[in-house]
This record gives sequence, C-alpha cells and structure tokens, in this order.
Amino acid sequence: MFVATDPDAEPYSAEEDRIEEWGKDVGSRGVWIDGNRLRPVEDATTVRVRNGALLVTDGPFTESKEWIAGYDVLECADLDEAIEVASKHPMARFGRLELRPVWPFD
Amino acid sequence: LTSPQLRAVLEELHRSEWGGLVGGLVGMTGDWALAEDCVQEAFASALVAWRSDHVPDRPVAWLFAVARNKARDRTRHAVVEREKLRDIADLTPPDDELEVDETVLADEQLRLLFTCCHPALALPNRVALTLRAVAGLTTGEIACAFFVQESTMAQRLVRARQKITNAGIPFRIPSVDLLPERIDGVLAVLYLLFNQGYSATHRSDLADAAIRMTRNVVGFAPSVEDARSLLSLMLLHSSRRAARIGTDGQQVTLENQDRSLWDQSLIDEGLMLLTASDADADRGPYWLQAEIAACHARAPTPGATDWSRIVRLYDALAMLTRSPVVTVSRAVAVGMATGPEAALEILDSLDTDQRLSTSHLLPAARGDMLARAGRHIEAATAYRVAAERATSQLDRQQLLREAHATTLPLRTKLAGTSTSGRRRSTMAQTSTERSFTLTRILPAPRNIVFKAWTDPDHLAWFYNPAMPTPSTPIQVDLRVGGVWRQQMVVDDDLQYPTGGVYLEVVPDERLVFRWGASGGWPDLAGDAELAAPTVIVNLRDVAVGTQLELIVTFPDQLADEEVRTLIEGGTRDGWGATIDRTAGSTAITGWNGHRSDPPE
Repeated sequence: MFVATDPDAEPYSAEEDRIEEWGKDVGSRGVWIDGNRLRPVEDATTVRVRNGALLVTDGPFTESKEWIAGYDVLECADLDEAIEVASKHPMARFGRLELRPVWPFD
Repeated sequence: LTSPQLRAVLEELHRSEWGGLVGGLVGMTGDWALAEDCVQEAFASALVAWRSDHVPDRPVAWLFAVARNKARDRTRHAVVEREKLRDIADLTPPDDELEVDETVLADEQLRLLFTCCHPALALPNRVALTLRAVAGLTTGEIACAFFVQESTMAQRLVRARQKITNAGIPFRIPSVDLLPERIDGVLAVLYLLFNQGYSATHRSDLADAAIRMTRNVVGFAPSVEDARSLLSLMLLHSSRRAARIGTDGQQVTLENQDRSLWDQSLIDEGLMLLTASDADADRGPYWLQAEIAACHARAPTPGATDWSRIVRLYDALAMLTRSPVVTVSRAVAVGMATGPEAALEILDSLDTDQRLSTSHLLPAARGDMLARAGRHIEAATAYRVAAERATSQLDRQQLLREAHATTLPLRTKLAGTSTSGRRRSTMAQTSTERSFTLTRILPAPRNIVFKAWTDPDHLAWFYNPAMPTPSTPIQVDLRVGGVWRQQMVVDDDLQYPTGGVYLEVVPDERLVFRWGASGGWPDLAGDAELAAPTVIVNLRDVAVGTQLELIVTFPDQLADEEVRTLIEGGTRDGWGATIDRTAGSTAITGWNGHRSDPPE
C-alpha cells in the first residue's frame, strides 16, 4: 500500500492523525508486515543509466503535486480486507492510498 | 422432443441458469474464463446428448456435472505444471449429476454478480463482465449492444477477469457492513444494463437479463428499498414493450401507444413493489423514476396523466441527481402540466449547458413543445437537429418522422381554404397510390401558361389569396438545379417559404421540380429533400387553350401510410385550389391574344 499526498484532500490535521491507533489495530490483526514514512521529495535522488552512462539527478522522477509519502506491506486475505484496512488509515482522509498487489513468485 | 423444442428448452436453461453454473465453477476453480468456457461447452454437449437421448430429470445438475468434469479435464494438465487451482479436492473424483446440489446455484449467481460489480473494477468492465459471466451473453452480443468492436470487448473482459484474480477481489456476497454500498454498486450496473437494453438498443435480451438479476437481488435483500424500486421501474417500463414498437417496426411515443397492449400483470407487480410515500423528497432516484412510470401506468388515457405530480417527482429527482437529462424531462412535464410556452422557456435556458450540446434530447424536447404550441415549421427544424444528433438508428428515424408529421396540421389547414378541392377529394383513390394527378384547362397558349409558372413577375397567383401579399420577393432561377422560392402565408401565425428546386425545364412544355424550400415546407434542407414530393407540370395544346396536367409523386422514403395521410390530409386539395388560381395569373389575364392569336 502506497501512502500518497493529494492536493484535493482535506488539510492535514495533526490532532486527527490517529496513526498509532491504526498501527495497533493492523498489528494485532496480523495483517501488517512492514512500513515506513518517507522523507519529502526534496531529499529524493533519481538514478538512471542511459547508453551505459550513469545519470544522477536531484528530486523525484516525476514533476507531480502528488508524491509517495510512505508505504506499508500488508498481508490481506483479499481486496475487501485490504480496502477496509486502507480506509481506516488517517491518510485516506488527508491524502490517498494506492493498493497494489505484489507480483507472485512462480 | 423435436429440435426446435430442445433448442427452446436449452435457451430457457441458458437464460435462467448460466450465471449459477458459471458461479459454481468460479467458486471451485477461481478461473473465470475457464468457468465460462466449460459451461458453454456443457450446453453444446447437452444439445447433442439430449437430442439422441432425452432431457434428464435434473437438467441443471446434469449441466453442472458435465461442466465440472470438463473443467477438471482441462486443468489436470495445468495442475501438473503449476498449482493454479484453489481447491483441487473439489474437482476429483469424476462425478455425475447425482452428486450435484443445484439448489445452491442461485446463491452462486449472486456471488458472481457482486464480484462482477465490485467497485475496484472500472464501470464499463463491470457491465461487460456482468453480461458475460452472469447473464451468459456472448462477447459478440455484448460488443454489439455497446457499439464497440468484438476484439475491444474481448479485451475488456480479459482485463476485468485479470483484475479480479490479480487484485484479489473476493468471490463472495459482501458482509453485512459492506452490503448497503455494494448493493448500490450492483443496482447501478443493473440499471445501466436495463437502460442500454430498453432505451438505447431495444435489445430485449439485455433488458430481460437485467430484470432477472434484479429479481434475484430483491429476493436476496427484500428490505432494500432501492432494489425493490429498481425492479419496479424495470417492470413498469417493460409493461409497455408490446405497445411501443408499431407494426411498421417504428417507435410509438408514450402518448400514442395503445394502452390496452400494456402488460397489466407487469404493471400490477411493479406498482406492488413501490412502497407508498408522502414525502417524495426523502426517496431515492429509483423510487422517483419508478413513481413517474407509475403515474403513466395508472392513467387510463394520456389525458388522464397526473402531470403536476410528475413535475413534483422530477423536481425531487433533479435535486438528487443534478442531471441535465432530468431537467429536460422535467421541462416537458411542465409543458404538459401548464402549457408548452413554459416548457420552451426552461428548454431555452438549457442551451448553454455543455453536457447537452451533443445530445438529441434537448432539440427533441423542443420540437415536441414547439409542435404543441402550433409552431410547426420551427418544430420540424428542431426535430431535424435532434435527428442529426441521435446515435441510435431507431431514434433517428423516429425524430425524422416527427419532423415530417409536425407539418401535417399545417397541410390540413391549407386544404381548408379550398371548397372545390374538398369535393374532389371525395372521389379520392382508396389504394396506396404514391402520386395523384390533377388537370385544368386554361384559356391561353402554352407559352403564356409557362410564363405564369416561371416568371416571378407573374407568380403572385401562387400566394394564398385570402391573405395580404407578403413582402418577401419571389425568386426564380429557371434552370435545372435552380431554386424557385416564395413565401406562403397561411394565417397570422403561420407562414413559410415554399416553391421548389427544378429538376427538368422544357420551356412552354414541361416543368419538373422537387416541391418545397430549404427551411420551409415541404422542407428541402439536407436529408429532408429525400422525403420531399416531386411535381411534374405538363402543358398540352387543346382547342380552347392549354391543358395543364399536374402530377405530384411521393418518394419511396415515405411509408404508404404517410403518403395516404399526405394525399388525403391536404396536398391534393391544396394543389387543386392552387392550380384553380393559375387562370388568375397576370400572365394569363394580361394576355391580349384571346381572340386574334391562335395557340402556338
């Protein structure tokens, strides 16, 4: 699950950001595997190799008003459970969440 | 069983059981495409097996057992390669229909429906997959209903099935806390399906499939008012099915439908599903639309329709949906309740709404209201704009017919100015002739009569003599393809350009023209010209002057019935009165050779 910012979402409110409650809930249910907040895009570095040459640039790889602010690795029974878990995350209100299934190992 | 009988049995089973069979297999294998293919093959097997043998006692169980065995055969190899199946145990050992419990298949169909309508799927994909997996339509049939290439639709189905598998969309009826929102999603798809089948494409198979699935949802959740209202809405609309397509295959408007053809049992069921309410404002969109349909269903005649109640229902619906389409319908209801001018005012205010700029609905509604206001020429123009925008062939035909029909009262009015013409019409041919011929003897040579018909200085006789001469000048461009145009004044409210486009010009002998004028009557603008009559004027020498023969022919584009209406409704009488006046042309009255000059 990617946690992303969204300029159209309601303004962030620290008092209403109950991320600890969410963490406790997903932890106790055993669906949360791993996760982190990411530093802002000002600290991002983009790396490319083009025609054999290394190209390192400052900033994210897209100029966009929405950027990924964090991620969580979840282990859910199905999409409905993942949607339910995501809908309770504070950033569902203050930003947006993107659920991406992991490519299975064959 | 004969072959057609067996086919009918299988078609009915296909309609009612397909979704359950596919759902049952999806539940076991998790493989949607496999499930659909195997059920399809089971039906094909049944066609062969049941013909040579007999229809089994439990046909659904038979079909499911065969489909399941086929699925097992197909996946056995795949399983060896990689463990794809969710539940291998379910597929072994081979079984027959005795081991199948077909009573659970109705639930399987619901599971399938809820999964197909999952909000994580794009709406067009939900609709497509529902039709394929639950209703059992082929990819080609679905593509046809939505006007896309079969390959495009096939791709859409593949995408939808892949998303279900890869994103882990669960195959189940949602839990109680999710049910309200998920039922909304299912109803939205079913509503769209029904509309597509009923309104847009006249595909009764789509509409019937939508009704069957909605029935299933109502059976599962009878307390959900939206589901009951949606089913009611579908049944009330379907009750008019036999009446809304005429014997000629054309649409019949609600107002002109033979209400005795409405299916009373569907109306009764629809009305029963509709819970009574005092407060329309608290109701959902399906309830409001069903109640509007109910207002029509309850009215024994169009005149008995409670239009002011319909206006109130549209008010509530407009508040809820903010849809410009609803606003157009509301305007028409206002027109029916209080008069067309009020409706036209509302419709004019919608001109700036971008959402309506490509739709035929606004000009069609305007045409309807203009016609009711007696502004027939404007109405015909509005209908023609609507016809150009219509995406469905049936709608376009219907609108062109309205464009044509709206000028009928005008023609009758014209006929009313002639008494001699009336007398002649009693001798009218009763067959479906597509032309009529009138003759007159005029006391002048051919060149003078020809002048009376083609010289703008001598064409004033063509005007309506009962009205003052209009100020618009008469134009004549006397050559093939040239235009003759002059203003016809019927009364203070109604005037229009008429005349013709010349098709053949033989001086002093013969004149052939497409009768009418662009933007006038008959209208010659664009495609309308194809429906315009052709007029031939032949001039022959006779002892006392010239015999004028006038032949009016109606094109094949018009149905027999329309031609009959046109001939009996005024064109014959109108032309009779018109050519009676030819003798009054200044060309003839001013001709001074009455005695001395013999006819040429």
